[in-house]
Amino acid sequence: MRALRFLRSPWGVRLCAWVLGATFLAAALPKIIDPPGFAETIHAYRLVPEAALAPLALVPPWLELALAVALITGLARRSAALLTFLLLAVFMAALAINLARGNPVDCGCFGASSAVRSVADRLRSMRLDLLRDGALMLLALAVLTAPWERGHAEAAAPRP
Amino acid sequence: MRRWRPALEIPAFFAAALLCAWISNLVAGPTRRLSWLPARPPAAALQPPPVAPPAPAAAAAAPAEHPAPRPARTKAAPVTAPMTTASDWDPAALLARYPPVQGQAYAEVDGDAARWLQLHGALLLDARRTDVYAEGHLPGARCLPGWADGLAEKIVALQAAKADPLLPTLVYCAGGDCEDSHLLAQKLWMAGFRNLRVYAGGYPDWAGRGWPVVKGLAP
Repeated sequence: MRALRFLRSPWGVRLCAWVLGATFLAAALPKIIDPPGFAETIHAYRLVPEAALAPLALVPPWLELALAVALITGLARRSAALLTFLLLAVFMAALAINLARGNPVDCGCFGASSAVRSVADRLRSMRLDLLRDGALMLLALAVLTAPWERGHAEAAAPRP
Repeated sequence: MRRWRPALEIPAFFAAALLCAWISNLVAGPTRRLSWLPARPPAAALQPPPVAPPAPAAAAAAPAEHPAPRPARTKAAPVTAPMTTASDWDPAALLARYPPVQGQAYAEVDGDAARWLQLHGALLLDARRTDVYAEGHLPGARCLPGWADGLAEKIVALQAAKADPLLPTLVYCAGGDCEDSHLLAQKLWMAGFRNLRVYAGGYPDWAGRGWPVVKGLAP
C-alpha cells in the first residue's frame, strides 16, 4: 500500500519515468548504431512487407531515444509515457504473434544478437521478453496516470 | 489547453525521430546505411531476364558448346578473370554439373557442392555483413551484404562484370536461421541471374569442415 502511495508521489513517478527512460535509452542506442542489423531482426518477425523494413529499422530507434530523453528530463512526460505505452504494446504484440506461431525470433530489443541459440532457448527468452515488456508497460501506466505530475507542474509553472 | 498537449507532442516525437533517422542515415557509412526504399535493381538491370530465357534452353541442350560464346563478349571477358581465384576455372564443367535452375529462383546445395563450386571458380557471394565478412569468408567470395544500402548498384556492377548469368553463382550467409542468402538469391534472380545456388549450411558449415577461409576485405 505504501509502495503504491510512493508510486503516486512526484518522486515515485519520476523514478518510474527514469527507469523507463534508462531502459529505452539502452534499447535505442545499439539499434541506432546498427540499422542493417535491426532491419534483419525485424525481417525475422515476418510481420511487415519488405518495403516497410528500412523505415521501421531507421525511425523507431530514434523515437525510443526521443522518448527516453523526454522521460528522463520530464519534458512532455505524459505524452512520452503514452507513446511509450503504445510502443511497448506493439512490441509485445509482435513478440506474442511469433511466440504463437512458434517462430523463434531474436527480440532485438537491445540490438541484434549474434549468438546462436537453440529454438527452445529463444522461445523461452521470448516469454521473458514479454514479461519484461509487460512490467515496463506498468511503469509507463504509472507515469501516464500520475495525478498530473504535481511536483513537476509547480516547478514548471514559472515557465513563460 | 493541457488536455490537448499530447495531440501536439506526440506528432512532434514522430517528426523528431523521422528527422534524426533521416540525418543519421545520410551521414552513416556505407555498411550502416539503409536505403529507404527496398533494393531493386534499376529498370535497366531488369532488362536481361527477357533476353536470357532463350539461352538456358540452349545451354541445357548443349552444355559442352557453351564456352564458345564467351570469348565473343569482349567487353565482359577482361573483368571476368579476377572474378575467381580458383585455378580450375572451367565454365564447361561448372555448367555441366550445375545447369541453370529451372522452375525456381534458386536451389539449395550442401557443403560438398559448395566446395566443388569454389574449387571450380563459380562466382561466390557472401550475403553477410561487411564486418563479419572481414572476419573470414570463403576464398574468392565477394561481399554483398543483403541489408546495406547500394545493393542494387552492386548487383548491376556484378552483372556488368559477370560474363554469364547462366554460370552457377553460389550465395551463402551464416547458415542456420540465416535467410539473407535466400533473400539475396531472390534479388539476384530478379536481376537476371538464372543459376543460383544457396549454400544452406553457410559459413559455419564451411569453417567447421576445416576448409580454407580468407580474412580481410579482399575476396
